[in-house]
Amino acid sequence: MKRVLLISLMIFVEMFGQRVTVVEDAAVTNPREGSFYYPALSPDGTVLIFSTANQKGLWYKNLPSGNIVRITNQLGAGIDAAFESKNHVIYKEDNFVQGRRFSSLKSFDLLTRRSTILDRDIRDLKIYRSYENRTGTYFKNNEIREINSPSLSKISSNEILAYTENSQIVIFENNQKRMIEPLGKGHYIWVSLSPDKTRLMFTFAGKGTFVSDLKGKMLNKVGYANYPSWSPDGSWVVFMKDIDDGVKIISSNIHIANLITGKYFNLTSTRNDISLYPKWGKDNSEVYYNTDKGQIRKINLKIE
Amino acid sequence: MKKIILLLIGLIFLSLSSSNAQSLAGYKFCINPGHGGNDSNDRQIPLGNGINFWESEGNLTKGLYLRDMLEALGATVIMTRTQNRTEDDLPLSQIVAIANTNNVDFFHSIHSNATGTSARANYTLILFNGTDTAPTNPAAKEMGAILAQKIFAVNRTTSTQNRGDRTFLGFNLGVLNGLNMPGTLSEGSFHDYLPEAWRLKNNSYLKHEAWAIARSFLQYCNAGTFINGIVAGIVRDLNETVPSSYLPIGNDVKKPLNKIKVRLEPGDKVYNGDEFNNGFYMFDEVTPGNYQLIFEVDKMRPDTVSVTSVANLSVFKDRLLTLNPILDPPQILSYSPADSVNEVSNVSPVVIEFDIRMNAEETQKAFSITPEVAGSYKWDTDFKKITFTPSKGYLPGTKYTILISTAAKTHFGFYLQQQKSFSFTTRSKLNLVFTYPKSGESNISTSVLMRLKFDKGIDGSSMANKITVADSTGIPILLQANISRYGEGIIDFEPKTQLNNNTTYTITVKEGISDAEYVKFTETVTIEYKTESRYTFDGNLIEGFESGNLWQSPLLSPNTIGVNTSTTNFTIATIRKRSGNSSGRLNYTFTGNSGEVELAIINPINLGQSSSAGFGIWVYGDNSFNILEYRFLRSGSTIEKVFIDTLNWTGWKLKKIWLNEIPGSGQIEFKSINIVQTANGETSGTLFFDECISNIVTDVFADNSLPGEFILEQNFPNPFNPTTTIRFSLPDNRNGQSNLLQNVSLKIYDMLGREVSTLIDEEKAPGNYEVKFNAKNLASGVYIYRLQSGDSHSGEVFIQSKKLILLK
Repeated sequence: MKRVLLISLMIFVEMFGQRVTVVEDAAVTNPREGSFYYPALSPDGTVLIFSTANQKGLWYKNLPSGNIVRITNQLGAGIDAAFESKNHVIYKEDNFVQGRRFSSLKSFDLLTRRSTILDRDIRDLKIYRSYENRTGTYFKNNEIREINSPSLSKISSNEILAYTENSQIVIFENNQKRMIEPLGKGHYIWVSLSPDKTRLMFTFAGKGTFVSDLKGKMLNKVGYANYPSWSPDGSWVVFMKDIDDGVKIISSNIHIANLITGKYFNLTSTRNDISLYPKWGKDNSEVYYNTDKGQIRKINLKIE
Repeated sequence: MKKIILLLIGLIFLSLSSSNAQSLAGYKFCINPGHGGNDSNDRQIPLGNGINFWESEGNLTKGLYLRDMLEALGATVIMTRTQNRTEDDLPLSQIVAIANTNNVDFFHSIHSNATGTSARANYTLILFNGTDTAPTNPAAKEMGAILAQKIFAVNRTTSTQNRGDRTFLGFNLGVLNGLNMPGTLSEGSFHDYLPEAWRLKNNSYLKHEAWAIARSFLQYCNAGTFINGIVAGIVRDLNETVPSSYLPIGNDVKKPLNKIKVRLEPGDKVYNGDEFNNGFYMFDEVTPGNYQLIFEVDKMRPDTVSVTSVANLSVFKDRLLTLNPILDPPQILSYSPADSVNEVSNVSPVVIEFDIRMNAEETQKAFSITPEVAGSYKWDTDFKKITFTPSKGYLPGTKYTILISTAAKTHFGFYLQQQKSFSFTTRSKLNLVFTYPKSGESNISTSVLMRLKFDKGIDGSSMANKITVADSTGIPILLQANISRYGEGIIDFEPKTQLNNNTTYTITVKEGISDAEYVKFTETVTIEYKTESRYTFDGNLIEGFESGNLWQSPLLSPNTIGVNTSTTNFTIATIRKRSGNSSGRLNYTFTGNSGEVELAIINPINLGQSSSAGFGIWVYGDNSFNILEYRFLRSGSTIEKVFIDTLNWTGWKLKKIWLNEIPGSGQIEFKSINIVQTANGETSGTLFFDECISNIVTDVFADNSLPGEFILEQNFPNPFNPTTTIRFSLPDNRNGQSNLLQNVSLKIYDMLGREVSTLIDEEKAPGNYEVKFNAKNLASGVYIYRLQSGDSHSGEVFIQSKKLILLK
């Protein structure tokens, strides 16, 4: 009953005829199960993967059953872990030897709960993860490779990718890499392609988050918006507004912004804890995030 | 299995080759110079004379040096910032994202530390993510241990620690939490320990720490060692010390020397020191071997020492230099107080400055003051300046003579050749230099804020029962005082309840008030003033200053000019009010000499056409002698500026204007209250406003009772331009008869006695009167107004004159 009462204290706002309501903000994990960060939902919405604050280790929760299973406890496993297919999670494991990072690329089968090494001893390994946490590509020393190919060969499709190299944005299109710096020299982080692959979202460190076309022409300034990600229909962005005192983060809320109307909405204004690292769920009605204490939570939204 | 063996062989080969090759090729590091910009959160340490240390600057300098060193070793370095602007002060989550996005092998954040309290410390601290025993990434703890040792070795702090942030701080550092690679944060030393803050102003000192971090990277990566070494040290004065307020640790008690010159031979390398009180020097990339260091500092005895440079290490040669002997007798360069000066502060120290370092003990013995006064001596850090401070002040009005005998001698044993004496006379008494009201002043507000100003700051403890206010029957008035300006010698006080109208009050200031220099007020003074008559009128209250929404911020008005924007503001205040719950409070500060503040009402108030009705506002004056104006819109377009009064009062007064006195024609709308700076006005003040009243239909200054005597009041405002008001009273019951008509004339004369205007020349009944005088056709100057009243029955005549000043 108490929960029902709390839920009835729903937050809503009118926006150009749109009404956004936080229907529910519910815990997905509890402290007994561990301290988890960086939730990411499978494309079919049945499995949630997550890691720890330092992206050490990888776990998944089967949402229908509620079971949490550890995939690995290795360093770096939480970095851009993503779904290659309904039952396969692609992740990496880092090993630091004499100051150098060596990484292995692995695939975890959710049905057999077994891992397979796909590639190993890579000095600069990055997994390419799409807005819906899907992957089929990885980077081996800045060389683009396909994951689903038996030989893990160089990619040669017409895939469009957006990612970073040395803090610059790289657009891979028509089988060619193109470097862009829409706002000049600096650090471009949290770069992602829109679901329709026509727009680019990125954060320019110290300046804010922006949306541009693939040539770097500015379309939207989202403002101070960290860890931004696209909604499944590409019309919204969810992000965190974290404030620090130069030593630690002292407050943070999860916000969404509509890229058409330019309106913002704080989804966690009534919560007292620090809310971090949000990701959309399978449609516009779900947002997953974690608290600073490491609890994964899910917000159910109603956008009318 | 075969692959693993090959990898291990490769790594072993890599390890062996790198230790020889001294290379970091293929490594990618992220370096974060902590903080950014020169904002309040960027750790500023004021060092005096406008010199500051900013941690954000020190961190950046170390970081840029480190980048160059690591890149020279072949590493790829990602810098989170390369400048020190506010926009470079990135959110912690973005710093972490930069390191993660670039997939670097190691992250390091560079800082200096502070206790944040009055306690002082200076140790080296390295932090890694996790607890002491369970680091999130063991490699971070491994590197932390190396950094702790290497940085400690170059900064020579008191100790060093390598700690998990969760254990040491009780929480995870935001800049380490979230890294997906090993990361460390170094607090090389403490910047709020002032000897260290001065060292951190030295770029070579910062570079030295960068070398230590670069050495750490080489060792952590097992990538060889630097083939050259560093020779460094600090040059100090053997005899001088730093201020004790530094709370110096160890050798830091000795004063470092500025503008040192150090030569390294062979090689003819020269290091020129800075002027930031650190005495630091450094020669880096010195080929291992034996050298000579030659130290040269102006006025100091040169010094030479042997040193052996060792590869990948810092070798220190600190030196304590002594002054070149000076074989001259000392000269007195200056002294204070100056000779034969009177009215010297009763706590003024005696300061004598010599040109040569003195023997403190002998020189103190050579000092005498007559009459004798208890006090203490203090020398500055180079023993050239002695200061004698009396412990409880001097006697008031007393002549003191200082004598420095020829027993005073220098540090090198040379005596003062001629004795020196000078004298001064102390202040004899505390003086009352200003009062409000002035004695004899009338027309004072019944809520007057009285002020006494002395020529020195007041000792509050001497004030008990020293100031009283009583009415004409001797009944004391309850007062409340503002003690916040005692230090300026200002005592503001006001009646707890409103005074009576048309009543004489007396302020008594008794002898015995003491100032901060133990000097007393030696007389008893009375100040008599009379409150204004009672206001009676009819009108409509149109704005009560109960809400700030009706008034525009003065800073938004285009007519507000020449003000300090941080101290000029308008608020609704409850601390003073004439009615209701609040009043409007206008604080203003002028920055130049022609400022103006406009407090505009957002929707101008329609007052109708010109008429005999009035418009007024209750104004709590600030005695600033600036000008109060009202501004009106005529016909919705023309702005008419109307002088209302000079702000020469305190307490509430109704400041009104008749609508037919407002120039122009057409509909009148009240638009704003303006404060216009004057040449002799205060540069800051606070006014309160309450009750805007329209349709004032009777004369506002009316006393129900008929006067009992002739009164000619001082005109107001005075000085004026071009209108002023003159009030006078004609008594009733003259010679036992009531309500007799009297012949009255009120005329204006210039200083040569020529009549320039007649304001009244007619018979008038007993009563209180008010006459406006418009001097628009007269030149600036001093004029006389004279009231003459003749009783046609008795022949008795009353004549009184006063001066008025027209300033155009």
